[in-house]
Amino acid sequence: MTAYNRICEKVTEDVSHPTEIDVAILLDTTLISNHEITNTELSKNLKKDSALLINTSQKVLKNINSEKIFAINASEIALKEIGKDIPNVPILGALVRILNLSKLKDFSQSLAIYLSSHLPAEVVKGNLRAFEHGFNEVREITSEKNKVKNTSKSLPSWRDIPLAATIRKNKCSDNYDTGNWTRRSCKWNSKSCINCSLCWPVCPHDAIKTDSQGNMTGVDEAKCTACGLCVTVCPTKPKSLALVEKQEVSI
Amino acid sequence: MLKKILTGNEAVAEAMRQINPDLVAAYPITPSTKIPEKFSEFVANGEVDTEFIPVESEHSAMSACLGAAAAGARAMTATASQGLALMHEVLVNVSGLRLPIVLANANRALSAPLSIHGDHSDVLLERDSGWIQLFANSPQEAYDLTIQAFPIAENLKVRLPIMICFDGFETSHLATNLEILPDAKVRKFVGETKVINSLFDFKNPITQGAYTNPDYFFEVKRNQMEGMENAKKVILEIGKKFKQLASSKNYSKHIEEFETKDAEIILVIMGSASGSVKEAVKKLRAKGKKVGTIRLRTFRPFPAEEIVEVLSSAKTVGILDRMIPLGSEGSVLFNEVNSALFSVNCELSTVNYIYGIGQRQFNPTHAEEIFEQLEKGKTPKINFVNLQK
Repeated sequence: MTAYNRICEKVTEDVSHPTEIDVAILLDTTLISNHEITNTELSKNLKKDSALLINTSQKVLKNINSEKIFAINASEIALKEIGKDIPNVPILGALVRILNLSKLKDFSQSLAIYLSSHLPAEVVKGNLRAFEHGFNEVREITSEKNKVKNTSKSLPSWRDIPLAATIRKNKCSDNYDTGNWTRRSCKWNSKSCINCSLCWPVCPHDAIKTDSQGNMTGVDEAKCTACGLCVTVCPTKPKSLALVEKQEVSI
Repeated sequence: MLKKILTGNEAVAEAMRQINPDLVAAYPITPSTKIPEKFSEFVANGEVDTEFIPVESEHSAMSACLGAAAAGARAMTATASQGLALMHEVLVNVSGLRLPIVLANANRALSAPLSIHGDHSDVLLERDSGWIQLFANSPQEAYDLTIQAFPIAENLKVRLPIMICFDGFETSHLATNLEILPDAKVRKFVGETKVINSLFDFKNPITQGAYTNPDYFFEVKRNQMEGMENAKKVILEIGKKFKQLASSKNYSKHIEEFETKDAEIILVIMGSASGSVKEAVKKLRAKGKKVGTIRLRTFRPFPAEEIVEVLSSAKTVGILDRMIPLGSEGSVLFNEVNSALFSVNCELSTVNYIYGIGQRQFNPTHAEEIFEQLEKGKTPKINFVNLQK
C-alpha cells in the first residue's frame, strides 16, 4: 500500500499521485521484496537527488538504487515507547529532521495538540518520546548499488488479460506466502502440546500442520500471519503456542 | 470559523454531528467506513441525540431510513459501491415516496473483479433513481454540501432524497485543513425538520406508498419529475444562503468554471480529478494556449443550460468519464453533455475520455496530453487514459 503527502505553501486542488517525490518512506520492509523497492510506482517517481527513508535496523543495504538513504529503527522505538509496532510517529520525527521542516520543540508541540484530540494522555506522551527518538536517531547509511537488478515485469495489455481476471494456475495461493508480511511468528512447543486440535479449526490460514493421523507437527511459517488466535485457544499451561519476534526480512 | 485537519469521511461525520439527525442507520463499507465509525463514537459520547442503528445490510440501512423519514424523522446514512447497489430497490422507493433522506457516498468501483478503489460506476448507475446527486471535489466541499443537503431535500417544492458523492480515497481519505462552522450556526442553517405526511401524526392518519392504477401512476411520477426540476433553483438558493455563513465559498452555480472565457478547448469533468485538469490548464495557459475546464457539482438535476452556455463558445470539448461504457456510445457524462448540446443545435466536436477506472492514476500530465490531442484533432470518439495498451 502506498500513501502520499503534499506540503504546499498555497492550497492545491491536485490530489493525484505526485511524480517528483522528495522523500520516499518505506514503513514496513517485510511487505516488499528487494526487487520491488526499486521498481514500484513510488521509486519510479523519485527524483535523482531524492532521499529514501527506511524503517530498518540494518547498517548496509543491498540492491537499493538511491543516492541518499536514511535509516531509523522506528519499529523498535515504537515497541519501546508505545508498546506497539506502530512506527509512524518515530518515522515522522526522522522525516522532519531530514527535510529540515521545523525545530524539534516546535513540531513536538503541534504534534501534541493534534494527537491529544485523538488519543489518551499516556499514549500521547509515548508518541512524543518516540517522535524525539526518531528526530535524534535518524542516520544516513550506504547501499551496495552495483547489485541492482531490474526484474520488473510490465503489466499485460488489456487484450491479454484472462477473461474476468480468472486465475488459472493450480495451487496458485502457494505463490503468495501470507506469512511473510509480519514481524512476528508463531512457535510451537511439541513437549507440552496435548494434540487437542483446538488450534486447527481457528487458524484462518491453514497454517497448523498435521500428519496423516491428525497429530500436530508444527506451524507453517509461510502461511502463519501471527494473528494469535491459536495461542488464545491453546488450553495447556504453559501454552504450547507462542508469538515470538521474527528476524527482520533481509532487504 | 474553526480550522481542523480532517479527512473527507471525518468531515462528513462532523457535519452529521452538527446536523444532529434523528436517525442514522448504516452498514460499514470501504471507503466510507469511517463515517459510521466516527458517528457511532459521537453517539456513544452523547454528543448527538441520534438513534444509531448498526443494521445487517445496506438494504436494511436504507429501509430503516425510509421508515424513519416516513414517520417525519431526519434520517442519514453513508455507503459506497456494492452497498449502494444493494440499496437500489429502496432508493427508488425513497424518491417515489418523496422522502428527504441524505446519503453520503464515497464513490467506488463496482465488482467484478473486486476492487475497493475509486471510480463513479456506483453513483452513476443510480443516476435515474430519482435522487439529487451532488459531486464534491474535496473534503471541504463534502462537508459544505452535507450541511446544505437537508435544506435542499426538505424544501416543499423539492421533497426528494439527496446523495452527496465524493471520490473514494482521493476525497474520503484525503486529510486537509478544513474550515468548520460553529455548531450553533449549522443548526440554525439546517433548522427544524419540516414534518409533512408523518405516519406518527395519529390525529390525521395517512397511508404512504399505496398501490396506484394506470390512471394515476403516470401523474405521480410526472409530479416527482417536477420536484427534481425545481431542485435546480433550490440548490442555488441554498448555496447562496450558505455563502452568508462561509463567505469564501461560492455555491451560486451548478458548475465551476476555470479559464473558460476565451477557451477553444474545454474539458468537462466531475469529482476530485478536476484539480489535476486545473493544473494542466494553468501550465498550458502560461504557454498561451486557449484552454479551460468546467467541473459539474450538480449532476442530478442535470444543469444542461449552464453547461451549454459555457461550451457553446468553444471549438472542441473533451468529456472525462470515470465509468466504463458497456454497450453505450460513450459513457454517462459524455452522453448527457452531448444530448444537451445537440438539443440546442450546437456544432461542436466532442470527444469522450475514460479515466481513473478502479483508481487508475490520472495526473496533470495526462490532462495535458488530452489537451494536446484535442488541439491536433483526428481523435477517436472514445479514448482510454493511461490504459495498458
